[in-house]
Parts: sequence; structure tokens; C-alpha cells
Amino acid sequence: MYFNDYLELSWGSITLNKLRTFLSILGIAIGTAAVLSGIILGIGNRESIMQKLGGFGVNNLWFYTNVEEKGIQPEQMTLTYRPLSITREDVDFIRRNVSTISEVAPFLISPVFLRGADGKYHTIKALGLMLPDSSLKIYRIKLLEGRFISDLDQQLKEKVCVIERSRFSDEIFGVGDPIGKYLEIGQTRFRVIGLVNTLIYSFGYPELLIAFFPASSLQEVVGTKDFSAVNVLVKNIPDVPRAADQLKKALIKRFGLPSKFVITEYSGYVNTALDILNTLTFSIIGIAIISLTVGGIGIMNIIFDAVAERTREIGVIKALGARKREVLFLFLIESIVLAVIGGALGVILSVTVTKTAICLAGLPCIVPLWAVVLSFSLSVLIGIASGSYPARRAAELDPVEALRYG
Amino acid sequence: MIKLENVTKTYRTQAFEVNALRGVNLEIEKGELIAITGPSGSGKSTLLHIIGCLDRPSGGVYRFENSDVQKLNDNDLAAIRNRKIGFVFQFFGLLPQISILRNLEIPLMFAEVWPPEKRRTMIMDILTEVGIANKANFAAGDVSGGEQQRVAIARALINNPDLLLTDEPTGNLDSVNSEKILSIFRDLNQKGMTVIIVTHDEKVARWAKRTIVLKDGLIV
Repeated sequence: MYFNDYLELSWGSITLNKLRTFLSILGIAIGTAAVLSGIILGIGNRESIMQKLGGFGVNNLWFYTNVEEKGIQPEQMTLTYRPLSITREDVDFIRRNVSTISEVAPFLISPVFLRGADGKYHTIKALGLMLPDSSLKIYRIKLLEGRFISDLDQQLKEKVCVIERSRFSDEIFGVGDPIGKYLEIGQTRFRVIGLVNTLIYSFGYPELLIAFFPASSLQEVVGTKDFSAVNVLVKNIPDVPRAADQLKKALIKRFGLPSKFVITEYSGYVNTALDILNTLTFSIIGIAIISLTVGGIGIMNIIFDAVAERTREIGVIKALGARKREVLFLFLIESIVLAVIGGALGVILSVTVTKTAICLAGLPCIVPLWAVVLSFSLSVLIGIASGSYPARRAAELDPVEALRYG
Repeated sequence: MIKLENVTKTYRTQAFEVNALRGVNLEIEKGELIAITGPSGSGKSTLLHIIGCLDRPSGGVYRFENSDVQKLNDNDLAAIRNRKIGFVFQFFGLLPQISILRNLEIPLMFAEVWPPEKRRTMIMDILTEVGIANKANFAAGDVSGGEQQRVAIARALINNPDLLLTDEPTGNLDSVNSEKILSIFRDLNQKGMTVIIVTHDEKVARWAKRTIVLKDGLIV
């Protein structure tokens, strides 16, 4: 039999019994959608939890000058002055050499005294940023009003600052919009240009207000050319240990001396976080396997039924001279066509409905290409595999027996 | 053309064995018009299936055009069924939901007749011959019993076989339609085709040139 005739006959039988075809395709589509949706949902959850863990600084590393043997915690940062000399070129070098990180941001932190609107003197934590954009990402800063510090402010040593909105801001600036008002530090006046949300990072002394400055202008006021530490954002939480390792190598390569810096995780919870993520990954795999089994069995049932229903037809075409191989191919082509159409519809269904639902639920709605390819090819494979057994059985049917049937 | 020597056929079910044929000796020459008759369960259909290469004998030797069917593989038998033998089944054996045209096209596809236009010409020729060319596009299940019978005959003849086997061809037809069908068989036989008819009908049995009577799996 010619290939065209196989297609012709298979397609004829697919289009003939519309209800059966519809149900088969529906079954395969639902199976595929179950697998893909399970994965999308799992990944969305994992991503959401990762973001929340990121909020706790789990994917942050930082390094500072090694002055003593003993490590220090971020809480002590404002008290401890450890000059760190780092340039823009050093930062670029680190970014180039550590593939697992996305942001590198040196900062200077210093307590400063200023006179508030109430006429009293207050202490605030001043944070000078070399790279305002990177810092925005690392500290997960949300701008509430005005604008954030820019690279240009940093280059031009602009006397501007952005303050954190907290109950302290009212004490210092009085009631009303602080934007456009001035902070007086010593003889220098800094204009407030933006207001940001309360930071998760306290840098110690949570009762003190945080204000951001261009590093260049804060350095002038404080009288230093150095920074306090460098904060590094790791792209993916599971990469934190590897990133620390890469960072160490990059620093040795750049600055020589292996013991010049101390690298530490911002949060002590990386291992716990990794455990949580692993548990989630396993549950995603579990969901995928369950969906796959359910979907796969559905596909098998449908194709089995389709063959059983057509026993007499098989007897007739065998009597008319169909060879085993021809009967086998006719049924195989049919199940391949059904599996491909069903699989494609399942992907569309899953991507539109599930993805939309997850997006609406506020979870990260990511549909990775591998998940699409995996769920589609698995259902096509199951379709073919479950089609091949009944197709083989159909091919082996004794024509006399088959003719007697039905 | 056909030679059966001591052919037996035993069906085994879980509970018991059925000896459908118990040693049939039969020789049929090319161009014969034969009726096989006998009571229900005498083995008529089994004999027809064996002659038609749908089934193999359990014992004995069956030669079709001098080849020992027992020694042929499934593909050879499929090819014989496709090209040398035409079958008309008791309940027509048409695929009722698809068109008459496509019903006739299927054996041509298995015979690898190409292109489709050639198949169409062949189909229309044969449908004209049996007188239902005007219903070619009807679903096979949507035409009358007599017409379905003619479609079944047209399908059996489409690959121009040497042997035509029919199982109760008039069993489901009224006398007028039965006459028409039998006259088609006679015409075919006069053109040289070997025709074997399995029937219950005494009249049909008498009408044939030669009658074989089966009883309990043996020719009497």
C-alpha cells in the first residue's frame, strides 16, 4: 500500500467517527494538559517561594576586608569601620568572572547626625551606593515617590538622598511630603528626591532611619575614599554555595592575597532554603509523574477501545487482502495523528488556562520550553506506545474470527 | 484450480473441540459454477473460508492453483485474497459509514493500484456493470439490501479475481433481487469466472451446475 493511501484511510477513519475522535483527542489533550499544568504550577510555586526566600536575603553574599579572624554580622556593620578599597573596574571584573551572580554593589555605611524639622539632632544610617541600580535589585527597594539615585548623581557627586518611609521619617521631616526638603549633615545640605519602602535589611539598629546617598557625595561628607562592604546577588538560590566559591577565586585572581576578604552569606539559612527548594522540586516531579500516569492511562484506554470497536472492520479489510503490516500501520498512523493533535491542544489548553489562572493567583507564571517539549513528546510517545499494542493485536487478528465479531 | 485432500478443520474452545470439517476431498476446475449446501453447522462456511484462504486447514492438503496453502505465509495469503479471490459475505461485510466508492477503493489500495484517478475509473466501470453507478457517493449503509449486495459483488470483482466466493448471497434478499443477483453470477461464470455459492436455498442449489452437499463436516 502506498503511503498516501495510509494517510487517506487513517484520516478517513479519524474524520468518520467524530465523537470517538473528539473523545480520544480530548483524553490525550487532558492528559498532556495535566502534565504540563502540574509542572507549571509546581514551578510557579517554587519560583514564588524562591522569591520570598530571596526577600530574606538568602541569595545574597557579601564580602568585606578581613581585619580580624572573627567574622561580623550585618547587624554590626554600622559600628564597624573596615575600609575596603574597590573600583568600578574591580566590580566589572567580578561580574565577568562569576557567572552565577547577577549584581555586585559596593556600599559605604555610616551613622550620621543631622538636625531634623523638630529642631532636635537625630542619628540615621547613611548608605552610600556606588551602583544605585544594582542596589535597588539587591535590597528589593520599591520606590514609593519621586526618583531613586542615579548613576549620574553618583558621577556628579550630587547632594541628593532617598529616604526610607518609616515612623521616623515624620519625626525628622515633620508631617507632610519630605520630597524637596533637605537633610543637613554638618555643613552640607542634601535634597530629598525620593521615598522608598521600609527595607528588610536593617544593617543593625532597626530604630534608625536609613537614607541612601550617592557613594561619592557621602564619601566626601564622611571623609573617606573607601567602602564598607560589597553586596552580591546570586541569580539562583541553589547556586549560592557555588557562587561563594567562584567569588573567592575571582577575588584572589584580582587582589592576590587569599585572606584579604571575608566572604559570607547574608543569611544563615541557605541550607534550609535549599532543603525547602529540593522538597518542592521532588513534589513537582511527583505531580508530573502522577499526571503523566493518569493522562497516559487515559490515552491507552481510548486507543484500546478504538481498536476493539473496529474488530469486524479489521476482519473485512483483512479478507479484502490487507497484510498484517498494513493493518498495523493504519492503526499506528491513526494513533500518531490523534496523539499529535491531542498533545498540541493539551499544550495550548495548559498554557492558556493554567497559566492565566496562575498569573491571576499572583504566582509567578513561567512556562519553560523544556516542560512544553517534555509533556508534548511524552504524550505523543504514550499515544504511539499504547497505540502500537492494540494495532499489533489488530494486525494479528484472525480474519475469520474478526468477521464473526459484532 | 482447487484441490482439497482429506482436509480437516478443528476449532478448539476452552471447553471442547469442534470438528467443523472431518476429511473433505474436493476438486474444482476453472470455470465451474458450484453450490455448496447442507444444514446449519455442517461446515459450509468453514469450507468456504478455507477455499478463500481466510483460514488454514488443521489437517490435509489444500492446493490453490497448484500451491500448497499450508506452506504459504500470511502475506502470500493476503495477496491471494486481494487479487485472485473475490468474497461476498453473508451480511455483505461492507463498511456501512463510508461511501460505496471508498468501499470499493480499499481493495484497490491494497493491490497498490495508482493513481487514484485510475482507481476511480475502475470503480465506476464495475458499479455501472452491477447497475448502481448513480449511488457511488452514498454511504454503503444507506442503500437498500439488494443494492448493498451488488456493492459487495462489485467489491469482490474489483481486482478481477479468478474465483468468486459467496456466502448466502440471496439469504437476505427477496425473490426479485435474488434473481438479479443470480443472473449476475451466471454472466460472470459465462465469462469464465469460477463461482462458488454457499446456500441454504434449494432453488439456488438446483440452479447451479454442480451441487456439493455437506453434512457433519463431510461431503455426502
